[in-house]
Amino acid sequence: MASTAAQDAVFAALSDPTRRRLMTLLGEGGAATPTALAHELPVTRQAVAKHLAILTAAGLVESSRSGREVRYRLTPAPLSEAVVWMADVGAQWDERLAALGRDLDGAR
Amino acid sequence: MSDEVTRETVLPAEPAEVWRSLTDPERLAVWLGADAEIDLRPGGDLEMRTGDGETRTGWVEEAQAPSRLCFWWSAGAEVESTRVELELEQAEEGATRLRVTESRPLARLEVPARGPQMLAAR
Repeated sequence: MASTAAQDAVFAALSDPTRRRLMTLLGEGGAATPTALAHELPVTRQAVAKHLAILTAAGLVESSRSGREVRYRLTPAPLSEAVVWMADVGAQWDERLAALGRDLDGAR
Repeated sequence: MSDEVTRETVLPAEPAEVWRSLTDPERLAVWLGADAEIDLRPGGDLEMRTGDGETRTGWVEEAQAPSRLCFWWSAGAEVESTRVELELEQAEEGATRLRVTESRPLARLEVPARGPQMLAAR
């Protein structure tokens, strides 16, 4: 996959665990309001709104207004789910390999 | 399409020692997760808990000391299994190149975000 400015923005947006968790929640539960999302996470509604703004700027989520409510959903971009998976799994392996490196360093 | 993540690192130990780090029951918790257990025979069971308390189970495809460990795992019956391949090779004296690839050959088609485009692409 060639790296483009758009993809860099996507990976930057997904470098944060809370934003990856938000993507997963939206993927599993469909559209949701920031308030509903904040109930699922250990962060405030304001923090959720900020994370959603970053995800929106990266083109990963979109919002729609119905009455006084703004709801967010994943964009239908065919790659977004795969990109989230790759960012999530990649971050987990970074942690595991770092732990392994520390273990071997400690063993000397 | 098979999504794939690859990471590579050079570790300061011989392949045999890195292999022990990867597979010794006492040291699994260090890198893999709490209560981790792996039966290193082909088809052997694998079980662990992640930092989030999520349980993962799976099975060993191949374990070839000290160069290759390959297993499948999943976070539950409804979650697709992914395949993990760990490859070790001597980098220089006292150093091992470890390459990990996690892929999902079974990526489900019904995931909404991938939708009809992916179905059409099959």
